[in-house]
Amino acid sequence: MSSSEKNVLLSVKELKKYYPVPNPSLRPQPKRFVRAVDGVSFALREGETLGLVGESGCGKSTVGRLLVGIEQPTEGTVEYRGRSLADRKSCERKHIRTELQMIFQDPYAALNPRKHVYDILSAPMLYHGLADRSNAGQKVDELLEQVGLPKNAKERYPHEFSGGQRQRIVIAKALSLNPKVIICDEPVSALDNSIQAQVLNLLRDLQRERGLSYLYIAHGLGTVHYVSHRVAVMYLGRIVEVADVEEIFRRPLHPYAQMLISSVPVADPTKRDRPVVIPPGEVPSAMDIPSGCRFHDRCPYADDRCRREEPELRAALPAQAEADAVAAGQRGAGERFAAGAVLHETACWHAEQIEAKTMGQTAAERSAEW
Amino acid sequence: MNESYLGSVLRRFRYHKRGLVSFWVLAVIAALALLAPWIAPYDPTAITPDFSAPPSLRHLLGTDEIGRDMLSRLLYGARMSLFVGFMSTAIATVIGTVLGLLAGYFGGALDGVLMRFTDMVMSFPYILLILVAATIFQPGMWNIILILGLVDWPGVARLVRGSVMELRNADYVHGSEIAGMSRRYILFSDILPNVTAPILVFATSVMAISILDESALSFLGMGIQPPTASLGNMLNGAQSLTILTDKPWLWLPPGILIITLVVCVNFIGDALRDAIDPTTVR
Repeated sequence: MSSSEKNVLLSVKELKKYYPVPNPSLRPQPKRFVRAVDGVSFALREGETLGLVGESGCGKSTVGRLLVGIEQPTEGTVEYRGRSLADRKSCERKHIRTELQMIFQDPYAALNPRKHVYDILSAPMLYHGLADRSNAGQKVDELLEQVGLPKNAKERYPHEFSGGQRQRIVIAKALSLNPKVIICDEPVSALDNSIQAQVLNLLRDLQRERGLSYLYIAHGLGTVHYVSHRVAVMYLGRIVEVADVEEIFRRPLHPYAQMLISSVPVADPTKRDRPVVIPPGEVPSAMDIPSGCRFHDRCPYADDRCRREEPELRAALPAQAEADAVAAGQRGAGERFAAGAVLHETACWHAEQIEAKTMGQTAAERSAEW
Repeated sequence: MNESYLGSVLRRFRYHKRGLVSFWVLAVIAALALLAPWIAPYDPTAITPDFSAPPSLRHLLGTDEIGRDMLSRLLYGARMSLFVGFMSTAIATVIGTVLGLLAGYFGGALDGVLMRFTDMVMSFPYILLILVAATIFQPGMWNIILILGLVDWPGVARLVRGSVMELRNADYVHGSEIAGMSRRYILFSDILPNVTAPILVFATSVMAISILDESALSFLGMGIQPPTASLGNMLNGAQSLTILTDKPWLWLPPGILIITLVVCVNFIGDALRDAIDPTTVR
């Protein structure tokens, strides 16, 4: 654990964002809030991609916006290299904020339609003194080359490019300030499938070349599986499960994580009859979050404790098979788990018992799907 | 393919027949008005021996009651009306744009104060305010321009505020904020260029209204003072019934010219709006 804590770049603690709900009537009412983000904590390490998944409206995009400072948190802290980003003055002076950049979902809205690509890419570098008039052109060329666009792209306007090309320009813009962390807010969900792979590969290549860390926010689990090292599952403003990517897809513990992962269609006709659990009911409103575990009203395993007490994220126990392996003295996954090499945290009171009860789909089967 | 935004707007404008015709009509009138000192047959204030003469070869549009050449006065009057309209529009647009940008971008208390002030200015009975102001200050060209400019800006301010509030949440503005760009850069390089188009469209209607208001003021005797010609004070004589019935050459040409100017400016505004937003098919 100590080695992994050392290279933590971004540390988020108990982040909350409440939006006040306007009172439409003249009669005074108690103030109500939409609790978009309701106590999110995680760490992002150097060179790592953390996938943040969840349904629409679970607050995952808001987390991204809080990190880059588009929105101010109601509570909680974001520390970058041990320095609180809320301390705006010192961060802006030292150009620390610019080490966090963002890639947006809609590449059509993320570029100023009135500007040449050259202006879009060079303005931030010129402003921050990373380039001057004499070498800005060369730097723009380098950026375009890195994202796989021709040099003559810089003389053109954003509307002359396709969605995938625009997303490459957005990526180049984010790269122009030499960031360490890039928040990717559904960077490919507006693109065609064939283009998605290209952009994801570009993101992976850039990560390798520059040692970037990504917070990869998405609802499509396929792309998350492809790019992430670790995955955090969000439900109604909280993280309910975090684990290494293979671990979570093989062995989701939280009932919501199980349902989310089982709902992904698998391109294999022989798996047509595999069990798909869809949570009953609707996602509750973020204005009116259930007591106790916020998933209890849709969870088939909920008991009294779930209705009363809210579970926190905690380290999960190793799977039964692995525990048996350890007990039997075999060297393997179980030991790695015990040594902390496999990280798995879940926010469910009964995760292990549920797992023991529902061994319908074996771990081996599940990992074969991915 | 290397077409700039403005280029594509101009291209679409050229396919807008009504707008294009209006543009050329206005251009011809403006050119004649600008060239008035060289092409006017008479000095617009010089009194000739013919009083209230109907149109003839000597005076193409006749003369007024004290013997001034109507054609010359019409040219100088158009010059005055266009100048007043243009200048007061410029003033109103600058004030409205600055206040709208501030209110829309910073929001909060500043927005509240500025917008209540805007509502206040908007709720004044307009023509009365102008009349009072025109009597307190000396009526004269620059005062008219200032008064009209200071009264016409609330519409611009509201429009700009609305557009800025929308753009403030555009991803590319967020992108600039995340890139740590200065407020000045975001306001003037990211936001302002994207609201110029609607401002331009709105400015045309402000200009049309300014031309009408100047005419109305001058007609009431509070605007441009005789002997200086303006389209409005040329119509002043039309207050008398005998002139209305017996001497149409005294009021018909300036009246038609005012209507033509206002219609042309409005049509150009419509064409610009269509050219800027190709999705609005009429």
